[in-house]
Amino acid sequence: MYTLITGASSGVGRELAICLSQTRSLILSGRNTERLNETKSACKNNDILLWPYDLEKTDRLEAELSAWIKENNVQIDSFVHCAGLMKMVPLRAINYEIILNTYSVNVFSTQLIIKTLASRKINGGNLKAAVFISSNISNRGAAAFSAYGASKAALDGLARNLAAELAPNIRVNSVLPGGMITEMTKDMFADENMRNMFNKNYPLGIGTPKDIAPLVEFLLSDKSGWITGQQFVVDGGRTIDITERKD
Amino acid sequence: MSEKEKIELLEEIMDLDLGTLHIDDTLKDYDEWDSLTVLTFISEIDSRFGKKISGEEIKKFVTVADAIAVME
Repeated sequence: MYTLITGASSGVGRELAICLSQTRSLILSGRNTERLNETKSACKNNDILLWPYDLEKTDRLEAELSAWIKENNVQIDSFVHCAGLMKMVPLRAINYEIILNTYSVNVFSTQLIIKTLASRKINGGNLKAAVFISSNISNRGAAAFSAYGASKAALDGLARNLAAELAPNIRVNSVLPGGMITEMTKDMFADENMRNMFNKNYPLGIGTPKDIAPLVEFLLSDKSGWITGQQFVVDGGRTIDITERKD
Repeated sequence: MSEKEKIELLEEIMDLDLGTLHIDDTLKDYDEWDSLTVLTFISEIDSRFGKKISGEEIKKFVTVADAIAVME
């Protein structure tokens, strides 16, 4: 049995892959084969397969994943959607391409992958649990995040609806991290003002992907067997803190 | 892209009417040169010119001429 992890070539996906590889056989997915191989090298066991795919190509996703599963003769019991596209874009600079690409990676691909994995014909009814890596913006809002933030709200909506539809065989939950230092956000944190703002607003400081890995492991495991359709915020206290901090 | 077209792009980014900006204008004199405009500028320079520019670099801009100098 394998766990499929998208977005495994960097950031949260790579760290999760390394953590989960201690107990699981993995299929790593991402756009860049070279970087997927780097993740594979850092993993703790040898039963790691690679499925390189660009999730912006949603039109061929179902067919490509189905064919790959058949060709490799694998059974997948769990799925972690870590792939994410985040661009800080104010509304006046938003265009259709940005919206489409954001939703393709963050939402559309998730739905098509889980459809494929839930298919008895394609995956033998083996899928038991899925975890979507969302964001703490999902239930909130922030300037210049309309495409990203709304896509994460859609992702969590998808989790709840699928949880209802796929029960009792498949559990679907989402994890909502706060700001973390990853490949995707390192440019943002290179800005001193942004770094200071995060340090000021996060009671427990800025997080790293290692901070969410144990929860993902729990949600994939049978230990969370009575939990489905839930959002789990892991954000260093960012969204519960209403203290006014002057500097 | 001509100088005139670059200034028009900057006007679009700042959500100003065409013909508002002049090459020697000081950016800070415009209320529209705010933090959201800076983010819009970063996004547009990336999508139109394939160039990554940081907030730190933009902070050094003084005039319209400085801003359009990176549009290539």
